[in-house]
Amino acid sequence: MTDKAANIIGIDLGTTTTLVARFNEAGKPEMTNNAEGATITPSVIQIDDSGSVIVGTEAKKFLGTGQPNIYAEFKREMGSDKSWPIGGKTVTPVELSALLLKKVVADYAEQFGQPQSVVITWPANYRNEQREATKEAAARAGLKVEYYIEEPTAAALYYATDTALDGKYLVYDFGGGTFDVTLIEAHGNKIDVLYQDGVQELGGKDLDNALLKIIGEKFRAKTNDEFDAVDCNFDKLAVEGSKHTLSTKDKTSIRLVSAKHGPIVIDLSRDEFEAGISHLVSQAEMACENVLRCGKDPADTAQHVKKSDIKDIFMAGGTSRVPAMQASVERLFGKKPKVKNPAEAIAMGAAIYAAHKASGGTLNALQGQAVANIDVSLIAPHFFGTSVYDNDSGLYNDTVISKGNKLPCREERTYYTMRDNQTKVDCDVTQSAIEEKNCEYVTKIWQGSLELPSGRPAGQPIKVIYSYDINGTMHCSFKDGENGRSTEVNLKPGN
Amino acid sequence: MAYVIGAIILFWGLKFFFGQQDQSTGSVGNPSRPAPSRSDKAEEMLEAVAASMTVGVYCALGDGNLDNRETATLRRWKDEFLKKVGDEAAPMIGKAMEAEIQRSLRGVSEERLHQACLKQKSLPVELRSMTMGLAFEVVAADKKVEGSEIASLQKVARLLAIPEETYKRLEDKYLKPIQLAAATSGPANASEHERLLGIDPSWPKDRKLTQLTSEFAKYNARMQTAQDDTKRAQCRRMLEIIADLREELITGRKPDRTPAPQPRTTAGSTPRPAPTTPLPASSIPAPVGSKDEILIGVDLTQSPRQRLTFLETEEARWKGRMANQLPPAALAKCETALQAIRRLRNVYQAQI
Repeated sequence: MTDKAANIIGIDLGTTTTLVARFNEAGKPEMTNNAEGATITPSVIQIDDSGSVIVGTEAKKFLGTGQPNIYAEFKREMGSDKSWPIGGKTVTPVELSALLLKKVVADYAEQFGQPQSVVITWPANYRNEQREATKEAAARAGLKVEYYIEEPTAAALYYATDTALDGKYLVYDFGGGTFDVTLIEAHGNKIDVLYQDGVQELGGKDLDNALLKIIGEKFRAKTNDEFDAVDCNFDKLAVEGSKHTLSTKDKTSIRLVSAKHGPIVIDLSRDEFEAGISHLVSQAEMACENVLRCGKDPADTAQHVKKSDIKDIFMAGGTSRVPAMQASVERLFGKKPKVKNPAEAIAMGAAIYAAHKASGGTLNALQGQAVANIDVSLIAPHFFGTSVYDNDSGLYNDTVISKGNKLPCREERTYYTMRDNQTKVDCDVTQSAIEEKNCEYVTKIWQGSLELPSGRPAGQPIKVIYSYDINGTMHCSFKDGENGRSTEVNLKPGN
Repeated sequence: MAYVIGAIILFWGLKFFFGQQDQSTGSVGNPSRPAPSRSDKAEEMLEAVAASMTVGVYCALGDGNLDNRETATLRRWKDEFLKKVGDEAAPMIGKAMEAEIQRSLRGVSEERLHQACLKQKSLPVELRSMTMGLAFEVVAADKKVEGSEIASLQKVARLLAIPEETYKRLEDKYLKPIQLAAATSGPANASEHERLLGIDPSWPKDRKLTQLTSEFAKYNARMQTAQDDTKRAQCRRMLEIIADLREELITGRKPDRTPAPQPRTTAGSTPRPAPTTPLPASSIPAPVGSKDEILIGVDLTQSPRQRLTFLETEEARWKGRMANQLPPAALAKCETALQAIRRLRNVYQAQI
């Protein structure tokens, strides 16, 4: 312990907003303001022709106004090969995320100095390449991030340190771009993540699109013409505004001024909005039901967690404020969910995790006491396997690390060469969200080969060793069981 | 025992047999009952491999006739197979397969099918699975699946002793997309959707809901692994269908997801201006740019900045349409439009 408080932050790097929380001198998480004085920084970036960058609120003002080079929701593209041209160059989701991180950390450092320890969150259902892309963005932003944590787990940590927990809980995280649900078992500050699920393309922006569709249909009914948002000067901010109004009121009216049709008033009710988003709500409900199965056979209900075993449901993420979401959770579990600081819970949980990981001499006494009893146990977020062949099944995907394995984990499998004088073995590392035998429905996150000496009969053992650490880093090796020669797998992007 | 995949798996055995058969000298065995010679074995194997054509034609005839697409599929499969066996063995196998096709075109009796499958059973499961794949391919060739064709496939699978997982994988690959397209092209038909998702209409509600949740997990996972936009769109549609079925089961109400109306063409409409001013050839990679602009209806008299604004609106409109229950053709049109918008945006941003 030191007299001086450690400078520690957690960053919720969201699809639509980014937030920074610090672990203060008293050992409590607290939200910090950006340079504009707000806790929330919109995840929106504008880069002008001269290359100067505007991040956050100012950039968001230009969304939907026709200004060029405005970038939003790029988090959904992380890990993809997508890029956007700009002034003869291109900009990638990783670079945009790096700019966003740079801005929020610089704003923080202006007030509190450079942080010693940073934790960044990512969605629970983020794939390996998306996690690696996030790490790259942090590195490009000049941040030394030693630990990452999944968004719902961070929220769970915040709730666990804020409320006395004892039993099984569900964290329902409906953010701007992704939906995650995590089942935890918590006793005091000891948290075990049991299972997690999610829908990658489900978030507040999908609710906005559903609302926009309703507006378009009403506009057409009134004018017999297609709705043209530009003609009506109706942008994304206005859609969000209507959504927020319908979260607190039963009805609202939108006044549009169409260049073609003049002023038009569109009346919207909460019932209409809820009917328009019911298929999205239903998807979130099914993800909740799946998480209770914990990856076990659907018919083997004895292995599932019962709804009645869930003590409470915590709702995180800005979209959790939508009443239809809360009603859905209440209908599903038969109890009212807890909605406390849904927008800030993830960042604050990340700050607590950063302090927990930083403990050991860098914290002051109060900080040290606050995290002394914290114990977080994480799980493998996906199934990881390899393609193999046998005479009965033909070619199939064989799981090596199962989703839900406690981290860190290490698994070893032995396979055998197929023929005499085989001098090469094709190797791959696969990833899937459910246990999948069919090679067509898994993502190959790495492909390579292992060279073998000639002249050996079939049946030589090949050891496949996978390990996954608590930080989302996977290590794989394919090893010749006879001579020990191995192929080590680098799962960084581009390899 | 599982094996790591070798560099050559499937065809090595065939090459070995057919490429070196003249060197065979027979094997040591019981003196009173000589073991089959290498040539006999090769002959048996040749017949077994060629029998795949009989199986293919039998399945193609499952709907009562053999059309051009089915015949073309059969021959394409044969050609691809021959490429894999190598130059030495290909002529011999090709000749045997062609003879089998000609015999089968006159009709395949149940007895001939049984004989063909019996011959095939001497082959490793991997090669039999390929024959099963051929059967699925020919059935799917005309983009229609009838009950009689499914019955033929099931019979062939039984006779060839195809593992259930392999059958399901092939069914997923060849039949599900067709069934999905059929189920989503017309008005929403809950019973057809249920069948597509492996639900028996006679099941109680709870069992149906359990199955829907499992199917949701499957397609949600596949959406994450799908590499191309079409497959992703298909998975997204399945998630919507599942969500709607679930809602209907729980509430008893059919969700109203009528497709987004098309732009009106009746009197009073204001058509978008046709492109009149071509942009400098160097700034737009022809012909993609102009074709995309016509498709999206870009006003070329506008500045690149104005066009970008227009593209954003169009993107929201097309994405909004995709959220509806659209027939596959309309869905493909949405995808095409969105791809065109992305290309045009790149072009215009480069111009600013």
